[in-house]
Amino acid sequence: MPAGICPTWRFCCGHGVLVRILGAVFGEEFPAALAAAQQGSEAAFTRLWLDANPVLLRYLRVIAPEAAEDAAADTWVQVVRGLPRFRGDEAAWRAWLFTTARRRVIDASRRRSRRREEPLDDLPAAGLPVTADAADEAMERLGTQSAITLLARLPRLQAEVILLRVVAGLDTDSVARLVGRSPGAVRVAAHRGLRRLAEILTEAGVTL
Amino acid sequence: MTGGGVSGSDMPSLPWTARTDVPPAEDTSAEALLAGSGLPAGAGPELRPVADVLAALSARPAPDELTGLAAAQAEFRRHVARPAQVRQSHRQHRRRRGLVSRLGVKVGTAAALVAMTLGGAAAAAYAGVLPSSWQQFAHRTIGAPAYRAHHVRPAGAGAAAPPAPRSGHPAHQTYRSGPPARHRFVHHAVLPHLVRPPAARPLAHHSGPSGVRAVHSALVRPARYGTYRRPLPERE
Repeated sequence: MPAGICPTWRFCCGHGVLVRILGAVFGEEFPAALAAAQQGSEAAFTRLWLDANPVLLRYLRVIAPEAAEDAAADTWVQVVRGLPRFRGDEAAWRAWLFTTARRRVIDASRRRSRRREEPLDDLPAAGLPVTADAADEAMERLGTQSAITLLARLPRLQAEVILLRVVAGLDTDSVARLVGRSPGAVRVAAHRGLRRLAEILTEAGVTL
Repeated sequence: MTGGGVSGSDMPSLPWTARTDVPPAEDTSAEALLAGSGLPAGAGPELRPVADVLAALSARPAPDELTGLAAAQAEFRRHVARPAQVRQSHRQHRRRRGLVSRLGVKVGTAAALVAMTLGGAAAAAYAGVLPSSWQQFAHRTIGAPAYRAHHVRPAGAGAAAPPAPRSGHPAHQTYRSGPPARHRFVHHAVLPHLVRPPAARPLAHHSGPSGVRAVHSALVRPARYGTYRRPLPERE
């Protein structure tokens, strides 16, 4: 399939491998799918979930790696409850989804801080033990998990902004509203994050 | 002067420190990567690995990223699918209940009308004021009195003058206290078609006050409903 025909499939990694690019799966079919889901169609809701949950999990694994699955489940509970009242296009849907996920993460973090329960593996995202071998492995086989691990080495705002721009497919203004920063700050954070990512990869001796 | 009332010469001279880590706004390569449009042709080689990492972030879902579907579907069924069915069921129930209610009102009204009509007809039949064919029908079906042509004997035919009625009906008052001409007006001049031979006038043979009342009520009331009959010829 040529990459220019379907917007959801592109060549990846410079190797001619077709991978599915998340972020604009529905396109013109989104209003119909959303309306069907709001009227109770489980199949339509399943399509929405299959489109959004992998992206959501990748985002949550970067900003809340210790509780990504729980945060995703809580997010879907909230989304399902508010689904009949949601109005908007696909970009608004994704913005709402990730805003809900971000709030779930913040709420969970506050609960944990009140309870003073610190799991052993509860480390900040930027402090995850990433060895040089991880970068090499990521370059040998650029799997999604390896890419997430690499991105988790960035400061949280930079990683979050890059994920929301690239993975969730949101524009700068939407990301700025979501993270509560100005569009200029978001743009700067994204560029710094890319530059930092390039430095990490260079330090790992990765050359293509 | 500045906005705060301080002259420009009084402001400290702060040298602008260039932020080398902040990319210029025209960094189209990074912006293209962030927008998901891929690496442009003139991009630096240092961005190639970054582009590959970002592409890997958007790869197809792994199996472990689809494990929460059942729980999400259960939540969906509990909060969206079932309430939608319940809402639809409630709408149908309300529609059905409204239809039944409207039908009930119509049926009840029709039944009341029918009951009133039948009751009135039965009362009229037992009072003997129906037209002849209807009266005969009521006589056969519900045992109402048979149709009888009510009349009184002509005056001077030998019958004794009936006693004065006891009721306060105006016609009776007229009968009791009015002049004979008025009496004839009521019994003979106005109702000549009700005159029948004595054999056909069983009510007239009743004796006593009840028979008189029946004769008078038959004389007064059927005047509007009775069919016209030619007066019988006088017997010689």
